[in-house]
Amino acid sequence: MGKFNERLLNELTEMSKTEALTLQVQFAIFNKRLNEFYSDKMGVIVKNFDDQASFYGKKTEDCIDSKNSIISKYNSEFQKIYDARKEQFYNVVAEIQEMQGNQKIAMANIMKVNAEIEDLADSSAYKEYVQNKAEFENVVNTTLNKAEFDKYSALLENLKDPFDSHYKTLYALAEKYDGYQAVIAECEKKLIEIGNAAVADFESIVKYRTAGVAIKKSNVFSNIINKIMSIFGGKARFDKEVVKKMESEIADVEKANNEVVDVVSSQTVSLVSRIEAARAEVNAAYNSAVE
Amino acid sequence: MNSEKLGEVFVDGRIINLDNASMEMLESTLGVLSKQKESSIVKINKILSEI
Repeated sequence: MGKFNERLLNELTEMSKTEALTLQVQFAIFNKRLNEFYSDKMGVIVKNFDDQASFYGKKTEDCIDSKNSIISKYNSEFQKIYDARKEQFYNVVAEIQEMQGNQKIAMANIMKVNAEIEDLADSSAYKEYVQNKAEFENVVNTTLNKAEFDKYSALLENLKDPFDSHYKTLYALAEKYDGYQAVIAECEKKLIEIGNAAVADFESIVKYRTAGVAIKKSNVFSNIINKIMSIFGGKARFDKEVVKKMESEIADVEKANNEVVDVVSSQTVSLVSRIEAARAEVNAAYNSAVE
Repeated sequence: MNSEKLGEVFVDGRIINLDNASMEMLESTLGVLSKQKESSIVKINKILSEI
């Protein structure tokens, strides 16, 4: 028994380490996807601003404050979504960790019940049970007396196997472990869905990049006109055609994003509550099995 | 955007920096861990079947 428990404990320890690493790598993948998306999109926004500045004959250093202000606002919006989705991710991870912890407790209980079975096998109560069972079975199988047959059949039927409740508990614990495993698998799918949803939220931040501030195509003639115009009213035109439009875009993004963050927060609450209900079902099934 | 820093982990004889590793490396590490867990489950089931 000692070796049995030791082997099981070693395997459980190894599995715990693997599970902890798995959650870390899953989060790293979530982070990586969002960071890559963020870098790409911010690169496009910055390039668009610079191209516009160039089109209106502006040097980047002349409009650095406007540029920094717009970049900073976009940054904040990406950050809001990242934080909300990260919190959602962590909430699901916390549920997974708790269930994995409960699985280990179920395993520890299996070891405990198994040890009790071994102790019981050496007990006088068990020896008496084995003796009685053999005797009753012998009478039932050999007697020709109807009254004796009925009496010993009833005794055999009512003879309680001391291991019964232990086997029942072992079975219920194994079911509990599997029940948690099924909920954990669903939660792991949710982690992937949260990553996908975060990318979709990031997409929505840049969907406001409308044709209004798309870089205007220029040709030799329009370049000359543009240079002449920029000498006289370049700053005002740039502010009106680019900076104000970008600021208006980011205001729309902020408004939409605040709604998204609220939705994500309620999704998180409802998701955690659904996971907890599934966990409660597993526990209820266990309690009912060992009653 | 400030994303959370995760540092390094040791998996399958290699040190992996979770903040700098490529997506391919992370996906492959996840695959390795998934196989390790499957192997643990098989071993645990084998031990339990001895009961």
